[in-house]
Amino acid sequence: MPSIDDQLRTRMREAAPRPAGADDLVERLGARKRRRAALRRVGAVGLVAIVLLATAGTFFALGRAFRTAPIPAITPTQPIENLGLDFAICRVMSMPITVEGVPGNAYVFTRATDGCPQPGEGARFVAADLNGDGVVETPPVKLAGCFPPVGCETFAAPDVNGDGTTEIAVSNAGADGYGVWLFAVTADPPTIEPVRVELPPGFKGFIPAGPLQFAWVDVVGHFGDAHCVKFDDGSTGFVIDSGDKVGSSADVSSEAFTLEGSIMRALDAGKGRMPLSDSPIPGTTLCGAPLYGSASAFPDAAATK
Amino acid sequence: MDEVELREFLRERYPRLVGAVALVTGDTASAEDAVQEAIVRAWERTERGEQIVALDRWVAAVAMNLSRSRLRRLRVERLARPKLVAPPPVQPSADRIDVARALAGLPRRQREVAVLRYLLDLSTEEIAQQMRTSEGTVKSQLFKARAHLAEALSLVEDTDEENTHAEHR
Repeated sequence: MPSIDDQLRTRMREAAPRPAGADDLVERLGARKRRRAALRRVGAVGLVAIVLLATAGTFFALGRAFRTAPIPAITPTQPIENLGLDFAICRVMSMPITVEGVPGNAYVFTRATDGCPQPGEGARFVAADLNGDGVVETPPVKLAGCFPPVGCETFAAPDVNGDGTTEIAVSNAGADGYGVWLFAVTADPPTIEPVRVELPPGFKGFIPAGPLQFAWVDVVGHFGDAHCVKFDDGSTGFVIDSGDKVGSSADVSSEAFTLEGSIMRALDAGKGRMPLSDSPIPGTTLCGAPLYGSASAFPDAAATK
Repeated sequence: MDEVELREFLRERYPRLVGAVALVTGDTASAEDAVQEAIVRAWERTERGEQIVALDRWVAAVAMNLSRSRLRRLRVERLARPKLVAPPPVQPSADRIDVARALAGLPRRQREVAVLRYLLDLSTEEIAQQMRTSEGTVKSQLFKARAHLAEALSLVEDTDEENTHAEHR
């Protein structure tokens, strides 16, 4: 009988997972190398910008230091600067939305405490200014699942069902990409509600019932995204995809929904193999709407890239 | 490293390196990502004129380091929310499950030592260099890992006495 060392060698060789075959691995490594080089260039430019901003900030701060009444960084008593909220906020991100044809803004922000919690910490909210006056009309909705190092961000404002009112997509950057939640906006009464998935009885798909969350991810071996489609009757659908890259092909599972108010009803689910080049690999738009926050540079700006 | 060398390396060494990192991390996709990142870094270095003496060992070390920092992030993520949509699981063999489970029962460093030793055939000296620790520490961790794996996988070997009996028989 072979020694334990030899048995361990054999067992580990047999048990070691094999990478997915990739005919184009050399090309992909080349692309990765070019992306790293580009990121380094962006980093160098960013560093120069930071130094310039820091210098300008120092001048500004020195100027302020000579004032008799210093201006606090957070101004809870001034409603406009505070989006009309009755608590102090910080780390404010915004993106334009349209509600019943009227332009406004969606905001994602953190409740200030003694200072401003680090990204991904503290209580983070989403709220909407429905008429562009700088005051949020909807009650803020507290976001769950925001965690460091990036925390929850504005992601996109697509009009998923083509009714003239944009939905608000909020994301949190994870190890491989983004988890995305969708919120429906109504003008009367002014509210935003988490979009919830409803499944017909016996429906078999990969998106569970409950608050909608989908992945925006493109890594070695896997991707996940969502996109809008036009059905034959002219209505708009929302499709969530999850794909596994297999060489130059991909096994893609897709699930189609229709959005009614804040309810995302599942219609159909399917799975198939297709060329990777035809696969719904996520980019920097969701249903034609641009991505905001760190996702605007997807896939390079995901938390761990 | 020119394209011919790169292609040869990918053909000869890449699968085993991915397997090694995957056995340590328990995640093949992230192992591929880490090994590819390490290869790209090696490629960049050689283009800058730097010499990498043992490319496979260098890539293994960098990939293990990358996966280690990724694991830390994943831990935070798992605490905070359900995982992002995961690819449908590939049905692993019973043997693979046994080995993966046995390895999962080891502390990370022991797991890494065992995989470097038994899958990548590194000597204790090379493992010590890679993990920036002493050879004595590696031997100690390897001893514990070996004992755990042997028990978990029900491995036995002939003792001298049994061999003697067998020879007499």
